[in-house]
Amino acid sequence: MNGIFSKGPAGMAGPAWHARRIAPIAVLAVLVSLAFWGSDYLLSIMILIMCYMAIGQMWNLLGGYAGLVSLGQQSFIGLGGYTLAKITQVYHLPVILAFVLAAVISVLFALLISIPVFKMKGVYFTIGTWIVAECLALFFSTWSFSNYAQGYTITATYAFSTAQIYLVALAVGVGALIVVMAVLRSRLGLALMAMRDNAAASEVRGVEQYRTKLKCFLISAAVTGIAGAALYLNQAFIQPANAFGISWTVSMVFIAIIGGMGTVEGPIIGAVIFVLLRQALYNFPGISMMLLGLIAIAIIMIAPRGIMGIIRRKTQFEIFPVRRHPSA
Amino acid sequence: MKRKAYHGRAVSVLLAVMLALAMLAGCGGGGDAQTDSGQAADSGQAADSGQANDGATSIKIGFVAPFSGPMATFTVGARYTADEALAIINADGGIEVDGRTLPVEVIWGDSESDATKASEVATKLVTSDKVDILVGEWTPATTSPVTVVGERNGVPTILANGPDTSWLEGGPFTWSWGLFFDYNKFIDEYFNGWDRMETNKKIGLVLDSHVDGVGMAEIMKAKAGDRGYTIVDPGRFPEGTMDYTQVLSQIQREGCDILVASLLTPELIQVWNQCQQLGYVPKTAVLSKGLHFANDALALGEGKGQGITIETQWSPKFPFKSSLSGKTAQQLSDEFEAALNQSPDLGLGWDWTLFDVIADVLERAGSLDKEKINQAFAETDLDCTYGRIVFAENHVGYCPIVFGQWVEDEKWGYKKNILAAGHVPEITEFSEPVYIPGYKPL
Repeated sequence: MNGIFSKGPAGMAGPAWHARRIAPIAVLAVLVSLAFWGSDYLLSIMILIMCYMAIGQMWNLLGGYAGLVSLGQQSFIGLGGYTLAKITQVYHLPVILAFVLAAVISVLFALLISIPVFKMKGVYFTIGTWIVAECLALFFSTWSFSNYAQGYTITATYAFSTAQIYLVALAVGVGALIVVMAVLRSRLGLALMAMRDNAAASEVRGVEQYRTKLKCFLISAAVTGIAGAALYLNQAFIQPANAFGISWTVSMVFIAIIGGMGTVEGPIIGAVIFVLLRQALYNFPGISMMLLGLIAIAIIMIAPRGIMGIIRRKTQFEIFPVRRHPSA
Repeated sequence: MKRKAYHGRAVSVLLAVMLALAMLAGCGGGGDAQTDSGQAADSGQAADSGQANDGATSIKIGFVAPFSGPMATFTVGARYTADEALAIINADGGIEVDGRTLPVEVIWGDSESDATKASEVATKLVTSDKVDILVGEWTPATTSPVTVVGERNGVPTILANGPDTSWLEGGPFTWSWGLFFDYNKFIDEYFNGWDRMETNKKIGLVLDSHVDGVGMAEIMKAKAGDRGYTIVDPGRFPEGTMDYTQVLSQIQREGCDILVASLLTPELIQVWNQCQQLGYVPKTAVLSKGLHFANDALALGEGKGQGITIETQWSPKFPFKSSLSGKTAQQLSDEFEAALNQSPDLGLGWDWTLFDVIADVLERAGSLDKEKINQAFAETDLDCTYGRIVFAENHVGYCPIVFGQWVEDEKWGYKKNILAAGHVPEITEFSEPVYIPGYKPL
């Protein structure tokens, strides 16, 4: 935690520096305590916020920082979910093993597909990743190992209370945030931001674009795979069409854009808005999807740089600073 | 500059209002959820799992079904049936529970034909709206996630429509009760129907890798030998496939008189068109899953729906009466036609049976205590819209499914006749089978 949250800007000393150091711990303590006093409904919403925030952060890491606009991140959600289903429902092994394997399998798969998709640039990369996800959906639909398109009801999750699932989701959400902060404050993050601002100039200054992007892609795959396992721990029913559906990535894009791409705070704000909005729209059965689409269009037209973009432009405020400052 | 500042303020206000609305609706609960039966849901009243909700002003039924998305055609009549059923249930103030008579209301949840949304909306209904009974209807993508929510939260849950096999994989169940059809009997009725026809007893399968396709292929292969039939199976393919020429060519080469396809409506239309293009006209064809409505048969093209057969979950000729309304299948169908100006569809049977069972369970439970409601589900023994419903040890109450055939009709373009109902002895009148027009022996 120290390396991530403690390095305040130059000149920030005394109470302000301590506040910035203590605030995340205090917020985390409140979030953990929710498991003991939060209502089931509040916890169920928080589960979704944490999971969607994690996948939103990972999409943002790719799209907002590395310039890799992927429409295939659902591949890793599906792989994470299916790993959970196979490990617990078929092999009756512990859930924790499923989470570890979800990350491992996602990274291996990302490594494999990076060979063809990293040869593509821009919109071709975007389409290439989408096609990979669609192929996975088709493959899992016809693969006897994955029970064809019938999928699985993951009954091992019946034993988990809402509070327990919330704690898992919290770990995934906070973990994703720590990973993003760690990445952005590392040499990798510096390289990413240099590439984001000017790819050609960064290359001239010695940034290896391929390796930098690949590292980012693998990290994103691992965390998205774990988040996929957490999402299906909550949902407990998986089928290929749903697991590898484009709607997961649509959610990630919505979260990143509404919150503010290229910012750490953006996906947090985006996930909160996305989940609460969707909950509100469930009160309008039959037209909720249409309303969500209209609201998304309206927000993008009004605030193209997202809510965090507006806040930053007006106040220069940021909760999670990732820029380095020379020591005083 | 002034204009820019104004624009900025407007944006901030708009976003703040939207966020506030979302927060209110998200955290405050389902106060404004679309409900049927009048009284608004009072989301403030908590009912812990397994406990009666002492301050309740109504009995809440959370009803999750695909009101949008590809499965939306199946839910067209759901609200109509709910309104009719609730009008009867609430005619004298509702149902007596815990010493008070409370009206029954339905809070609707749209699964959008998607498992993730089904899970989320069911969770909202249980944890925010505090429903007393949860309902999930139409296909595993909705029924399975709703089941999980019911089981995890200890809420009596009733699921309807679909084969028992895939649902049972999620068991054993404590709080969930399924109104499903027996997949084995479903396939038996196919064979019963074909036994009434003169064919070469060769069956060609056009089945995808989805739940129905995989299950159907397995059971048909297991039964075909004993029934004297031969199966030609080119194998499973992914859902959404639109080129069937290879599959159909193999079936055509083998000279199958019987074609069986179980796909969604657009895919069935494609299969049937490609049959015509290949010059393959089987003697009889089952176009399952996506051809339940007269409009689906019309969509095949002029005259091309004639003689198509399909499993049938509703017919005005069903010899049962709704326990709630006392009306026969014919009366329910006539009223549906008059009210919605469309042919009676299979949803009628499932929806009326759901409300028959729920009303009976609540009356017998006499309480909103979830344990008592659950016990009442277990003790169900009711003659209703789908005949006698008793929940077996595996929590399934089996519903009738028969073998029907589309034939041309003046009123709605097509009507469905019953050809076989070996597992429903109450049905004794059957129509004569019709062969596909243009059948050419190969």
